Amino acid sequence: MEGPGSREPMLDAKSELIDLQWKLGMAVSSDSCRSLKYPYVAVMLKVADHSGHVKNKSFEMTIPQFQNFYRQFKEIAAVIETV
Amino acid sequence: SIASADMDFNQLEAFLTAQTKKQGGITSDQAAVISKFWKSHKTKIRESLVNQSCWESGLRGLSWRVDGKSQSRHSAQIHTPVALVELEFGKRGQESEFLCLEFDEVKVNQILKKLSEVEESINALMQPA
Repeated sequence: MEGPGSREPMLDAKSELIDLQWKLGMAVSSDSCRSLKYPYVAVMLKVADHSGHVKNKSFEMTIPQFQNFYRQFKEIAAVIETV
Repeated sequence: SIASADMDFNQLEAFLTAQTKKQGGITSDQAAVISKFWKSHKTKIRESLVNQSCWESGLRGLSWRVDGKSQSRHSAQIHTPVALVELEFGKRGQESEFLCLEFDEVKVNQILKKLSEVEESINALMQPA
């Protein structure tokens, strides 16, 4: 995943995060692979756009993706504290 | 069969040996080729099979920056830093969609607390039984 500065965030379509829900799942088996044994983090974001309209956005991350996601937020917290 | 069962190397050798003993099965040369192929491509094959089983949106990218918002009230300058985070999502084979979120410091810390709970759960799951 990209770090800061490599792409400018879109300025006109900012939403506010109202809630974040998560679950840690384990995919056991599927029709294409009988032995998946694959842990994943599923996240549900509840966001409100500038007009107040609320929508849900769900997505999944592998464990390494989640660890990167978490690390990026720790970096954001460290920076925002110093500004 | 090998990929579907995600065989380790012991299981692989046992499976291939059994196949060479079957009537109409494979030769030991063929078994050696299959064994070599699986050992060098196992990770990529597994990754591909895992991706095929993922139907939800995946997180493709994350970009962020922190802005220092300034506003004046009477004669005081008040700085309210905000983080702008752009998330890139996409389902397998589909184009990306983007979501841009704005966070203040309080919200960032709330998110961090939730993410630390996720990490605790992951650590508990990965503990040897």
